[in-house]
This record gives sequence, C-alpha cells and structure tokens, in this order.
Amino acid sequence: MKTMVTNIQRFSLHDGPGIRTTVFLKGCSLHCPWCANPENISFKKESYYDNDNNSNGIYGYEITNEELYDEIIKDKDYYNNDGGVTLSGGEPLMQYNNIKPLLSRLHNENISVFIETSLFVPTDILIDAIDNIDGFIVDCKIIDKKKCNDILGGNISLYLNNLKELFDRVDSNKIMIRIPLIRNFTDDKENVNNILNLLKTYRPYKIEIFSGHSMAEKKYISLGKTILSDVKVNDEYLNEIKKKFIDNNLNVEIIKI
Amino acid sequence: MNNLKKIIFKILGSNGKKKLVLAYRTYRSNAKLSYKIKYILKCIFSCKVIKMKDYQGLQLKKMYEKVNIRIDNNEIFAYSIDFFKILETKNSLSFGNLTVDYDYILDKSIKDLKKEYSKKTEYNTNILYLLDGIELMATRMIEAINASNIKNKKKLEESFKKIINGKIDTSFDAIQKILFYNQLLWQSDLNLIGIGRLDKILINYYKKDLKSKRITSSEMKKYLKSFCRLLHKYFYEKSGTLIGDTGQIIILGGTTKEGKHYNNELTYMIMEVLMELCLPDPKILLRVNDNLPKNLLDLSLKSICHGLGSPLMANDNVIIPKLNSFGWKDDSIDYVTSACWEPFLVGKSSDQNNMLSINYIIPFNEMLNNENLQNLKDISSILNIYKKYLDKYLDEVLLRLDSINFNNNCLLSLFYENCKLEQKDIGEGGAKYNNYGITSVAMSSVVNSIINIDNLSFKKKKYSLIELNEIRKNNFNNDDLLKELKNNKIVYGIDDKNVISITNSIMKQTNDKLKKYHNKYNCSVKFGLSSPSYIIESKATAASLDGRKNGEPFNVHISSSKAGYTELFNFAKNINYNELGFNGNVLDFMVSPSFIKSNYEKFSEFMKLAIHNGFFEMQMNVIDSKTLIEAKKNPNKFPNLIVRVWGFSTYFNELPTEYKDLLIKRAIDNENNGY
Repeated sequence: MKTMVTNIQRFSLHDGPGIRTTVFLKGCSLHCPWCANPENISFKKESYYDNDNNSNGIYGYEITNEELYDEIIKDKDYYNNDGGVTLSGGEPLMQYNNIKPLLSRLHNENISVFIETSLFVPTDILIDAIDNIDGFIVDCKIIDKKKCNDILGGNISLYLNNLKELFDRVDSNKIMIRIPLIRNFTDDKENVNNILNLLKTYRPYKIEIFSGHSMAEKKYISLGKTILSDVKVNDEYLNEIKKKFIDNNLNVEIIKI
Repeated sequence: MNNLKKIIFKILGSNGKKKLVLAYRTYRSNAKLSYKIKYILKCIFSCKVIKMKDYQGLQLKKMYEKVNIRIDNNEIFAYSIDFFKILETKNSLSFGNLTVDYDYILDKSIKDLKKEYSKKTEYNTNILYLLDGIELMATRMIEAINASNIKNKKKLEESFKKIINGKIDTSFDAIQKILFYNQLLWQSDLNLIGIGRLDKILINYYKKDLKSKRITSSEMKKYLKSFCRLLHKYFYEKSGTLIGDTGQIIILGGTTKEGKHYNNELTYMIMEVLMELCLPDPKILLRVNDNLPKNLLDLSLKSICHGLGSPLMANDNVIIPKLNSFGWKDDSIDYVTSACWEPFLVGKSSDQNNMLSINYIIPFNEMLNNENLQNLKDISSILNIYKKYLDKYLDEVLLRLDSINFNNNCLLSLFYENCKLEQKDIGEGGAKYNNYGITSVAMSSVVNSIINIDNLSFKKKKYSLIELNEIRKNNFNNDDLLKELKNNKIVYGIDDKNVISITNSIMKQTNDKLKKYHNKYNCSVKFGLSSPSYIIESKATAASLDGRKNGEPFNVHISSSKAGYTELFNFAKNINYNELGFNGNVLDFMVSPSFIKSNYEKFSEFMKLAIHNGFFEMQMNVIDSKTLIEAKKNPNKFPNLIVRVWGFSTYFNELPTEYKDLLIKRAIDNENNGY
C-alpha cells in the first residue's frame, strides 16, 4: 500500500512539540484560496516548472510505509520525549487508511504522531484516527456555512460535528487550534467572533493565530497558478484579536510564518 | 605569478620573505591607505634582522635587547611585541599553530628555571643564554613600565620582579606572566600561538584572591578584558593566511576524570568578557560533553548569536576516546587544540597539525583522465580503482611532508619538560609526541561525483562516463548536464546510506595508507575532514563531477547546502574517523538570526541532543544574507560585522571578495532551506 506524498521535512519546529519530521501528504478535501501548500491540493501527481533552476519536476511521489518508516526513524535520536512525526498536507486524513499500519509501528518505537487537519473528513475516519494519533493541530478558518462552502469547498456541519467528536474523545491538552487570518477572507469581525464563541466552548490547550503571507508564491508560479495578493493582516489587528481571546481565558499566541 | 613569487622570495632570502609577509599582512587589511603605505615602507626599510649566533639563546637575547617596547597606558597589563625585529633562521618554516603550557611555566621564576638547567651541557648552555635574555627582557619591561603613564606601575613592577625571582600567587601576576611569555613567543619567530585552558590555568589563583579578598569578580572581569584587548592588539601583524587567523584560541570547559563536565566561574566569565568586548579574536573553543550545564550551553549559543562565530564546540564524547586509542591515554583528558580545531596536547606534543592539505579530487580526476573508463561499472569498481590513485597521491603527500624542516626554537623548547629531560630542542624531536597533522579538502566533491556518475551513467544511462569526463574537462560547456549534477539531492552531508558508505570507504583508504607512515621522529601523521584550504586549494583545481567548475570553491568542512540540520548531524555522527582521522572534523553550518530567535528553546535542545548523538566538532555562523550583501556593498555601514571563516572569526570587511561571496551564497542556500 502506498501513500502519495510531496515532501518529508525533517527538523520541523512548528508542527507540534519538540523536534519533528513532517510528512506532507498530497490531496485535500478543501481548496482554500490562500493555501500555503498548493501542490498538496490535488491528489494526483502534478508537473511543475522551476523558474530559478530552469528545470521541470513533478510534485508527488508514492511511498510505502516501509520507506516512510526508514526516513522517519533517522531522526529518532532527536525526537526525545516530546518530538516525533507530524502528518500534514493537504489533508492527511484523506489517506489515513494507507498510513494507518505505520502509526502503530512508530508507537512501538515511542515516536509520537501528531496530525495537522482541517477536520473536513468523513467522521468515521476521524474516530478511527483518534485512537492512533497523539496530538491534533486543527485548522479553524470560516464558520459561516455559505462562505465555507463557496470559498473553501467545505461542509461546515461536518467540521462542527467532527470538532465535537474530537473534543468529546480527546483530552483538550492534546488539541491545538490554528487560525489563519487572511485579509478579506477570514479576518472579518463576524468570523473572528464566531470562532471565538466556538473555541470558548471547547477550550483547546493552545490557539495559534497568524497572518496570511505570500511565501508560497514560487510554488504557485511553478504550477502556473496565481497566488492571492494582499492577504496580510497587520500586527495591530492580530494583537487586538489576541487580546480578545485572552480576555476570554484562552491561551493564544501569534506566530510569525 | 606563482613562479615570479618564488623568484622574488629566493632573491630576498628567508629574511626578506618575512619582511614582505609582514608588509603584505598590513597591505591586505582594511586600514586606511596612508597607514598601509607608512607601514609597508617601515617593513622594507626599518625592519632589522637579528643574525644567527652559535647559540640560538644568544641570538634571542640579542633580540630581546634590541626590541622597542611600547606600553599601552590605557591597559592594566604590559604587553609589547616589536614585529620589526626579525629573527634570522636556517629554514623558512618555524613552529607555530600550537599552544604552550603556560601552567608549566607559571610557578617557575627565571631563577628557578636557571637552577633546572644548571648542569653543564650544550643544551643547557643554550637555554641559560635564553634565560638571561628573558631576564633582560623582564628588566626592560620594568623600565618601560616606569617610564610610561600606565596605572599600577608598582604592582606591575612587582609582577615582573616575581617573574625574574619570585613566586606568583595572584590572578594579576598570573595574567601578566602569561602575557609576558606570550609576547616572547611571538617575538621569537613563532606564530599562531594559542592560550590554552585559561579557565583551568587561572582558577586557583582567582579562588585564592577571592578568599583573601584581594579581588572582586568585577575586577577579575576587568583584568580579563584587558588581557583579551592586549592579545587582540596586533591583530594584523599576528594574522596568518587571512586577517583574523591569529591562532589565539582559548580552550574552555573539558571533561573531568569522573566524566563530568569541567567548568568553573571563569569559564562563564571569559565567555561573557569576549561577548562584551565584541572582538573576533581571541576566540573560544568550548569542550563539551553530555554533562554540559544548560546555562553554559545557553551562554555559548548567546555568544554565537551575538555574531562572534565562537565558541566552536569540541565534543569530548567523541574526541577523547579517539585520542586514547591513538595512544595519548591519560594525557587525552587535557587536550587543547592547534590554532583552529586540531586536537593537541599542550606541553607534550610538538604536532604541527596543518602541514599540508589532501585534495581528494586530484587523484579522482586523474583516475577519470587516465583509466579505461569502461572498467568503471558501479560504485564499488570506482572505489577500488580510486584507491590506486589515492594511494599514489598520498605517497606524494607523504614525500612532501618528509621534506619539511622546522627551525629549532629554544624558547618553545623551554615549555616542554621532555625537551629538558632528553636534552633535545623541539625541532629535533624533543617533545614527548612529535606527530604530523594534515587537513583535507574536496571529500565532498569526490563523494558527490561518485553519486552523480552512479545516477547518470550507471542507473539512468543518460551519459557514458567518457562523455561526462569530456564535458568536465571542457569546464562544463553543457548547461543541462551542469544543472543535473548540481540538482542532485543525495549529496555529501545527507545521511544517506550510500553517501555515508562512500565517505567511510575513502576515510578508511586514507587511514590505512597513512597508518604505514612514520615521520623522522618515528611518529605518525593524522588527518581530518576540515581545512582552511577550501578556497586556496580549489583555485588551481579543475572542474569536478559534483558540478564544480574550474577553480570554484570546495565545500566548507563538513557541510551541505542541501542538508537539513538533523541530516547533517546524523551524517557527521556516522563518519568513521578510524585511528588517524581525528585531526579536526568540523561540522559547519549557517543559521539565520530570525530562525534561532524564534526557535531558541528547541534549537538549544537540539544542540544538547546533537552532543549526545556525537558530532566531532561544530561551528556556526548566525547571519543572514541580506546583512552580508549590504555589508559587501557598503562596508562602512558594518565596520564591526564579525563572521566565522575556517577556524577563526574576523571582520567581514577584512575578507577577500571570494570569501565574502561564499558566505553570502551559503547564507542564501540556508535561508532557502527554511533556516
């Protein structure tokens, strides 16, 4: 059984606690216009052109669990007590069944497995994954039903239901929420308040908020696509949001990408 | 140009060459033009040569009689070197690139030393002349101090009187004595002189001072600041190949007999002093092990992040066992290093650790040019046939080593108990250990060439090896191929099984060849994977199949522009240094200031784990490409920007353009990797 991935990034410091290896799985159930990993939206291999090196390439390759394990285990000495593997993408849960056998093998080596997920996945997959994942980094983007559908291509009811399942079954100490503040898409006061009200109920152990950015521009160009422009939110507004969350006794941090 | 240089030097003789070298050191500096011209004229017209005599001790005595002494009134201690007095010598090569045992000399006055050499022998007679000279120099220093406006004249006079005939028992005296002998060493035709384990040398004096309330910690800090400023005083004159390469290395930390980490209050203080002074020199090497205290690791990282490029970290977990098995046994625990990073035994070894550089790509390219390339069918056959060429090349290297002769130096010999016991100058093998040390470049070029050949010729069959070599010989007149060679992601520095295996195979070949060699002292030659020569050697080296064009720089020590940090450290951990490959193996990488600032705790944890996992030595530049590019364009805006070069730090503005460009390139590559 093989999994389609685009990259295995070692020494990842922002994808969970400790030093981690992040596996980027290809394919997503959403199509966020500001996606920082546009090469991970499609489930299929894609050609790209690298302008800097004047060369062509392919995003996506298939890898067996054995090969994945061999790569992940290289940094075992650096995972220590809190590091490990983070599955990201794309939406890693969309290939969960492929990767599931690997997870128990990693646990046998005392390597923790975290996942970055949008939660726009079939609920039964999430419930199965819960038993095999040690930590969740969950995106929280747009709460309005129509906007969620039109902009992200997602069903907000599915997300909200999955969020409830997650917090019902998993200790909130193991759930972190990430909120991208994208100008003109997610940063409006109504959306921010909706997210705040949602998270007030669940109280994840940590919330990270960050501004939109254009660091993925080269990737967009390589795919022949155009990156969204003017997505940045200023620091003043980020701090205002942070304060609002803190006033509601939520643990929130602004991260710089 | 090189031939012209050789002719000029031959005409001028070794003394003339020394004058030119001195002039050149200032010429290439960043100083004002008027200063440079004045200095160069002084070198040519005012330099005096102190002629050889029957006894070198007499010659040195003459030197000490003639030198001009200048006392810096703004400092606490007295330190003066007259670089315009040149010692005439038999050979052109003098000892250097080492650290002397200041501890050995600290509790011996000149009078005590004269007693030790009282038995009438030729050797002792020479030393006694030398000691007369040292006493004369100490007396002259007292006169100069009294004629100056320096503060604590009386205290300094007392210190020098104790150097002549007394026991030193304070930090002040110890520091002054170290400085005095250090100045003598530089004055006496020796270069790249290290400082040694300063925290260990001074701690007992400091503790006594504190106990008797003679001193406070802030006063000690002032002493150490003055000490460091004075050592830095002759920055240009002391510099070797590049400005900043002075060899003034302070070794801090270590491992105790019980396996704990050796450190004391002075370990921290010395590091703080250098951070506060913000000088590139002297520089620090910190010996680390699994028990390195977190606050000392934090202080080291703070120092590196300050932009000092030091400390370099030497991992006792890896190094001490290597030194033990080499035969240094109980002595290993006290190791220091030569000017850059090569392990060295102070007071016991005369080892000149950077005598030559192996250039691994030379025999490899020779193989490509001379061998029937159809016989090379896989990695294994390449390595087998390369061994033949490498062995022959190493034979030539060893022959060149045999032809090297160092001048005797009785002052240096004074620091070696074994020289006294054997009645032999250090140049005649009087030290306990007299090994040679060589460095190496282009291991990465060979490894990457082999990987590329395997990929393009053997696996993909896209180019025959003959075709690859032809394109290489034409300096890559084929852009597509060049791109392919450079875009290879499996390279030296990545913890790939093949890469590690190829590297270790060549390490073993080198080790097995060198193991058979004994120098004229019946001692060994050691080698290592780091070298100062990554640009110097590369300039005359033809293109290579790692995608390197004619004359382009080699990889810097153990590094890779494509490896993430854990990949690089894992790679370094898996290198088998064998018995002889411990002459410096520095993992060298870049970190952007923003990365380390945003990820400090995890980075610090990573360093701790890396020490445990086992790199040999490690150094890093915390710098971003934007600053370097701006500094290259507008040097006046960045007068104090310090960078790490090979085993030393220096001002970025003092570097030749090709070194600046290489640092910029490496910083950009690093930032592209997300660090």
